[in-house]
Amino acid sequence: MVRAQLFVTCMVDLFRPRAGVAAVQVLERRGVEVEFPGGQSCCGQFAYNAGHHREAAAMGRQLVRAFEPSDAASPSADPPTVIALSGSCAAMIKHEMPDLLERDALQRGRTPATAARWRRRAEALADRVVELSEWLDRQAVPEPEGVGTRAESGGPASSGGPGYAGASGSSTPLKVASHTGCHMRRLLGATEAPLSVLRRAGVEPVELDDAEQCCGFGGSFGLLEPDISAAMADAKLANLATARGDGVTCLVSADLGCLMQLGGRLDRQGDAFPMLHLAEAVDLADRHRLTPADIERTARSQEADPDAR
Amino acid sequence: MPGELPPAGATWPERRRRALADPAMRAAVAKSTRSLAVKKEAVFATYPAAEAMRKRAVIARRGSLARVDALLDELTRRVEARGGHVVRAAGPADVGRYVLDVARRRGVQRVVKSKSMATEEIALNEQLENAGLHVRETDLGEYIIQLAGERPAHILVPASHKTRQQVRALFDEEAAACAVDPPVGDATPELTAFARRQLRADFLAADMGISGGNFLVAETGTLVLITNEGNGRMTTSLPRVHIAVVGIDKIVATWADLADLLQQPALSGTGQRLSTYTTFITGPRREGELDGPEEFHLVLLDNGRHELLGTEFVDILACIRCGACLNVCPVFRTIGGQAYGSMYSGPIGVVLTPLLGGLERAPELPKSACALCYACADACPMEIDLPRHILALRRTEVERGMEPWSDRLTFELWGRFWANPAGFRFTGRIARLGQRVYVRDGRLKGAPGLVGGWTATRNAPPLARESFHEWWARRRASRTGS
Amino acid sequence: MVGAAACLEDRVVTRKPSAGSLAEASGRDALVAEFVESWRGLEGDAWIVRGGRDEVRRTIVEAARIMVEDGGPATSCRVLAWSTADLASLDLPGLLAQQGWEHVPWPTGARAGEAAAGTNGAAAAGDVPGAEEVTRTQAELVTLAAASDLGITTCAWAVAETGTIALYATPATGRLPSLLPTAHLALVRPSQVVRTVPDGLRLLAEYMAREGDPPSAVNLVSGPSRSADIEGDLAVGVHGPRRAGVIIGEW
Repeated sequence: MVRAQLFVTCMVDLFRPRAGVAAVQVLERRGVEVEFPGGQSCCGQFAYNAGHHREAAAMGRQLVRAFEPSDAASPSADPPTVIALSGSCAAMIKHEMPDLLERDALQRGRTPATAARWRRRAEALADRVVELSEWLDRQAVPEPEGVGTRAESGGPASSGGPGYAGASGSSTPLKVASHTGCHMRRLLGATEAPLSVLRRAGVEPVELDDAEQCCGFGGSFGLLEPDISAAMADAKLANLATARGDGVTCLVSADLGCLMQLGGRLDRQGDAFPMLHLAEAVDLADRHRLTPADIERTARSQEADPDAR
Repeated sequence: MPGELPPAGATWPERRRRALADPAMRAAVAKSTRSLAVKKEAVFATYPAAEAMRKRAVIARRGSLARVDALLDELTRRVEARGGHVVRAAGPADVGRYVLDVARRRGVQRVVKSKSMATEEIALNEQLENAGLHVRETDLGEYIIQLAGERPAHILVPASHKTRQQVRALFDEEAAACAVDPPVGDATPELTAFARRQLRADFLAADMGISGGNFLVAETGTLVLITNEGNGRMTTSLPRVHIAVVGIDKIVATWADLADLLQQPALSGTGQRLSTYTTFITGPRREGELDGPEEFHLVLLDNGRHELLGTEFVDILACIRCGACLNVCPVFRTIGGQAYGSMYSGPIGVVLTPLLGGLERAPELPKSACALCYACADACPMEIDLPRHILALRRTEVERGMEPWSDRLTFELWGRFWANPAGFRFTGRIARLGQRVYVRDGRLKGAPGLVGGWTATRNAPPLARESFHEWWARRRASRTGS
Repeated sequence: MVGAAACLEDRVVTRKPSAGSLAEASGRDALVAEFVESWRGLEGDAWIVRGGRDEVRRTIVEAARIMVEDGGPATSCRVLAWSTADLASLDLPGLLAQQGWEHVPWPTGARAGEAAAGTNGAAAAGDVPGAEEVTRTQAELVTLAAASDLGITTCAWAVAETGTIALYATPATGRLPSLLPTAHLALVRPSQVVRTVPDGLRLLAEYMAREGDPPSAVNLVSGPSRSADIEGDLAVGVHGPRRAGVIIGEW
């Protein structure tokens, strides 16, 4: 059995634990033994991008410790993959953390050897981290028995498959809007993975016009500049409105930050549109429930337990 | 020596407010930036040689910057050997003094200028006008901006935030002031015809032409000037005296380097393969020549550039002022260039303004005018790592204690709690209790401190009743229990 | 670098009719075609002339009518032309007189004859028959050029890929004729067309190696003056010539 460690991210943990639960179920259905290191909190990106590198490094060190294999005695065993539920956080770990931890250690007066050790530990984590949709896309594993699309069990569902379970007999796949966050797009270069995962889930992903444009979330920027940030969200929402006119049923993203930005802005305007984390969309597809009604219900509920009322 | 930039004018909140409250400007900026970005992509897609040249150009540029001082010496010798004058200027006052000195010596009354960011940077027009000279900007966009009494809103297309109606109003006013016929309409050819007529008169009457420079070729002492309108040619061909004010960063070693660089401003700026007019100027007119300036002066402007050599910011000096980073920047597209309070706007402005003018002059730019989307890093033809520089400037602000104490405290406490698992879970529980005051209709509509910035324009779901950590613990307990 | 450019020159200059030259000629035709396509793409006017001197002369008149008068009668037309030996062979004074147009040769000062051979693709200048030994002040020249309808020049080389012509400033080949008249017409020989800007710059490097220095000014011109400063809307002819034309042919 494949082992993997789940990094849910602080935002999913606090605001949308359902996405984490969905990820656990998606992974377990694919034969993964999921571990959840309880020492994890935050990758520190928010503080890092705000210029607070000391605080970011403190969080980063904790993250490194949390995911380090406890059984250091058996170094021969490959440490498990760390699956992250955010492209942005994955990018932070992969692109910034080794430098950050080394530099911070030096600034705190540690020896160069200690600083170099922190770099290596961060690099070891960075090597193991993969964002969820990239992991799903990379797996040549068959879709689990009887889940997902109506394609016959066994091989992976063909892309653009014949539709979701709830629409038996329908040959038109459900259209969903897909938003790829900036760090996922530009730092991880993962532009295709979420689209391909959604296709395998039996839906037709649609990228918005100006897809590469930032939604305005931007970490500390979004808090310091609420008006500019909201104007950027409005531009994105205008493109979403066009897609809604073309019949997309929900907005899916692998980054909760973008979803909270767009959903929160839409809500402030008194409008509503279902938004799902990619893990939730795949979970619904697995259970033959990627239907407008179930999407709506899932998008409304944030509670961890999908069966909780 | 540190540099000096003109003051920002209004405060950041005021500039931001004006920008967001100007839908016509925002629509114009959104349109022009998109159009330029699309053209850039198209030319790189259809002209394969462009990318190979670009890669070589990056190497050429970095290589030249690595030996700026030696190249400047070589350049100086070459220009002087051709009868030109070269002077090094530390900052705005040096340039103003030198230009006014030449103007007095040569009895100059009227000056024409071709578009130059370097002279914007040192507010040269103001210095000359204060001394009684008549100064005319001759790039169409700069002319519009000069009439409007504004600063360029975009490195490449300075008046791209203006509508044609606004341009016509400015021209009408100018026509009345000069007692000439106003433009006959607001169609582009009609507006252009008015500007052509007015500017032609200025060119023919000018005693001195002031240009910037896109590149300087050390091995022959050659100034390279790139324009689309031809005003650069006019400025450097017609008046008796030509003064070029050029940043020391524009130097390249050889013509071979230049061959790779020459098309880059056009490719990344406007999506052209080459700008309409490219002029190589080597000294004043030669003996026997009947046109061209009698005197050629090259003012090499430092203004804080030299200080960047050898720092982590050195690659910013490779900038070719193409504007590609502006055109893809979501913040620039949203607020336009005027809001930056600097002639350098967009991502390059966010970095260059504090580096040249001091972080104290523009502390808001790194943290407030960037969403860290990394689009600029992808767009920059010279591969300048703008996001990394923005992160470094934000860090410097924190290290210098330039943010409100409450923000500082928030981050310190946050870092302390979240750097350990118990603290993280504890803050989650506390926040769940605390949020009750702010929850209305099942949503967070307010929040204290920094987070209040979020709820100023957006709602948020309340924190979940059960965090993922708690769910996992419960699930494990129920599994081991059963 | 110089070697490559020299090869290029060889290829260009050798024009003996032979079986092998057919491929060369078609390669040359392709470059010329690309140059013309690029130039027209930049809103420039272009004529390819295959018939030699007389057809070039006829085309100059046609080009002037189109560029100056938009095809109208062009009853009066003042033409300011470089005073190079190369252009002199076209007998512009005679040609323009037939139309009742005015020919203004670029005045060559006493030292104009020192202009380098090979400049702007042709031997220059001092001993051009009919060239006026006039000295004028720059102010007079500017006034004259600004009041001209058409400037006629040759060029040093042209670039196919970008639609560019290169003009070197020398005593006989001033800057103003391509700058101030209402329209500018450049005569280009097919052999002067190179593929890329760096190819052209290699020819400039050869000039520099020969002369020890670049010309005081080199202008690369790619079509007529343009601006997109008003709402991103393309405007042609803001400052420089409103129209820019090329005639590609042998004469």
